[in-house]
Amino acid sequence: MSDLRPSEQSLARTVIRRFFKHKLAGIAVAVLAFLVLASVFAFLSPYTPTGQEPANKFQTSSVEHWFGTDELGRDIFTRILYGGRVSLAVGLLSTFLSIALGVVVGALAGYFGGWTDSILMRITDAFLTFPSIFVLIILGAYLREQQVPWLKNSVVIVIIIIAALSWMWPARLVRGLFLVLREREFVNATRALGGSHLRIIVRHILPNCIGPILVSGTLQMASAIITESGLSYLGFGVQPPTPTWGSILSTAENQVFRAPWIAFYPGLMIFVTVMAINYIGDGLRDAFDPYVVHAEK
Amino acid sequence: MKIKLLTLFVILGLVLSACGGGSGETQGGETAPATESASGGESQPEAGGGTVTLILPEEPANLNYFLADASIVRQAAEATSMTGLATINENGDFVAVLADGLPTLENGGLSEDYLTVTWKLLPDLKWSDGEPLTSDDIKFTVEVLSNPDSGALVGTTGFDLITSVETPDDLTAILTYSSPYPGYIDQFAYGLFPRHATGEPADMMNWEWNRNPVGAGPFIVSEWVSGESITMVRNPNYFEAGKPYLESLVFRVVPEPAAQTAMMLNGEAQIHLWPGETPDEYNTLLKGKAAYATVPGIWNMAIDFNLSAPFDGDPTASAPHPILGDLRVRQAIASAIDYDTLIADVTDGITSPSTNPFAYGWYKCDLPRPFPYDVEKANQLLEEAGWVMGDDGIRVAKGAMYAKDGTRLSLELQGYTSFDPLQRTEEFIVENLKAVGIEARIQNYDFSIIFGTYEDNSPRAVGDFDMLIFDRGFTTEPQSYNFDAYHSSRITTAENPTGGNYFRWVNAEVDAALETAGSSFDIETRKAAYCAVAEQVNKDLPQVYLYVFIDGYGFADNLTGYMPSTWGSMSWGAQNWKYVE
Repeated sequence: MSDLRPSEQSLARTVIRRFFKHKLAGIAVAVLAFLVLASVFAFLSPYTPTGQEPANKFQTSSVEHWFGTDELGRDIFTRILYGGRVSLAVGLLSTFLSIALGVVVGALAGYFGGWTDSILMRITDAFLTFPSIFVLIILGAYLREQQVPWLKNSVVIVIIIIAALSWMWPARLVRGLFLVLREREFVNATRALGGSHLRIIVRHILPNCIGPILVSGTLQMASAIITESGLSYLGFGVQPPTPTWGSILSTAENQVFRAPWIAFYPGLMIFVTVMAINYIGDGLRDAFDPYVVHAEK
Repeated sequence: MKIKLLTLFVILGLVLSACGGGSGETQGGETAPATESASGGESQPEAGGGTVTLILPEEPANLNYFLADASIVRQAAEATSMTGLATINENGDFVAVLADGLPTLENGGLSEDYLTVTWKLLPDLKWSDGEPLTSDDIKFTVEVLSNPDSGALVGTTGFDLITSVETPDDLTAILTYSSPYPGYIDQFAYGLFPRHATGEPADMMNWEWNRNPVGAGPFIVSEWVSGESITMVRNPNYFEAGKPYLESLVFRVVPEPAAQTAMMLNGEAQIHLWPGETPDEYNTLLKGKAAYATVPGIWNMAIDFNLSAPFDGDPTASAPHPILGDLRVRQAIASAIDYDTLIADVTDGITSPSTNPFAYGWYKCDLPRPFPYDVEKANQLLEEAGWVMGDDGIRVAKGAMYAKDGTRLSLELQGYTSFDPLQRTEEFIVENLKAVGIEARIQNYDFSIIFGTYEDNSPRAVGDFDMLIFDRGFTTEPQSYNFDAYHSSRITTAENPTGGNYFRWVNAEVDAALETAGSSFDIETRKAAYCAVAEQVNKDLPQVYLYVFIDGYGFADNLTGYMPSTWGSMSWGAQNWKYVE
């Protein structure tokens, strides 16, 4: 009897083994871990992120300044390291939050259908149709009137705002997947065996959706990092001189003829991060894909 | 206030726009050196014809100067709807345009009691639609701009003083004022409205004229593609014979600084407003194609202090600001700023020093910096004022004048977003202040919030700020701006929501000097009065002046007659432009 049900532990082990079998996923984890550690230990740099030497502006790479200096003579390498703190936190956490919310809404709507579906999807549509710039302007005005300075400039608010403006896409995606999957035989079988709704959703349908969800999540992450820098234009979000990859990139935009390398480094960081997340997503999909698991047996 | 380059950000599929930009540099003596350059695009390199393409960083909302809350409107409107009775030439002098001479005491145009002004029009003037331009149109312009419901945002000063306009014949308008108004010429330097082609004065906001004006200027709007371009063609009824030389103007809306420069590089545009590069870089990059020209600008950058306690519901200075209420703290801030580095390195030579509100024009007041860069003095002033160094390098109150013991010396610095030189200045000042133990926190808002109204709850208007940083500018007639900014009756309150005294500054000497300057017709008296205001500004320090922007324009080498002016916009004098043969 016990042969028929693999234990939880062996499933976890299988997932981890399958994940690292995807070589690029393994490298991606290492790269991401490196980026996170680099930003955590940014204080080891001999420069501060705001320390200026205006006479030394627009220097190219050198032994003293690995990535050169920016328009105020600040060390770009140090700013990239510190910028990673905000950008990685915003990118990872807002994507996670947005996916989590989207999955819950999409799963409930897709699985139960009927009224639940109608109500949840109309709410989703409402969020989609309402132009986010107006939401942001109203929210900005509201936060300004609250006169709580830490609130409007906190990274937490930025993460929540970005998540609140982007959960609709995963929600619609997940709903579509659920609509298809809930009619499948294995779901009917579980239902016939008396499986609870929660068990069917979490254990049986959701694992089949992980691939598409992760792909959409990796796409969202890059835009979240850029959105963060855009938010500061509306008066909330991280204000200068605190560096973020997005803000370094957007200031560098105006210097392309003068110092094109300034735009290169934050762009490279965003690119590397997004690639890493993408490969991790790839690895996770392989690891969780029930078809792959079955095929191996 | 000026809106400059526009930066676009794609946010979740939506486009958020904000404004910012660049400015120009040093003396532009260099005239176009070469003529061999290729001109591309739709332009034809021949005199007496051709199209000139001008790059606008942002699309104007309309072409009605009087409805403009941003200087971008004037950049295009000046080519079509802003030809009036007079203009200010490149030397800062008034010259007659549609008028047959300027009314003065000597020629009797201005009465001995200063209360009657007689304007004479040139004969046979026509609007761009061919209708005659008569003294009745002057009367109509007064009716519009004196109407409080017109919605006009600028250029209305003095019109409420005009009690009657008589038009004995088609060429003569006799204006009667209720009290002497020194700016009587400036009033008519920004265009006239045609009675037959506009609408009701109170309905000005909705006139079709605003986007397709019938004017007396050298060009007429022929096509407006929203978000892309405004095309203007030669006005056949323009009053100067043989002008304009060009067949048409195309204003292209291009927000990205790099794309603008690329257009100049490819010969797709001939005139470039506020290039992002420094003059040297620009001239090297565009050698043989275009050159950089500069004129002294009017945009004067300063830090404004709130002398009143923020957030207390009392917008007057009766409850002083806990930190900035103490003059010594303001003096310390002024002493902590490294002005030389700020001007030479941080703003890249696109600025020149300014020490007071009157940094240019006939009213220019030469004063030394009240508190030159001196870190030691700044520290000493703060110690005296009862602010001792804390463990984290930021001072805390210990026996300060208004702040409770233990208060951190932390202030918010509010500016507007997307304007690169402003942000660089802010970041530099934050470091300067940190060096003497003052924490400044940058909080930038969109243009519309920073310069919003009392009703909009704009932080500046309701007094919800510590320090503001922005550039302000005024024309050859400075009275209305400065009276509004410094007179104690103009402190912004709920009862006085349009008041411009955001510092909440009360100084009896300033009040008296402003009243003198506003009622005298003697230029020396007025100049002395404004200088007295400047001296008080530097004594009480409601603000600290930093620098004036130098306006920069790039223009193609094969274009002549282009004359940038401090007092005009990029399209000022468009009737004189032509291609080199």
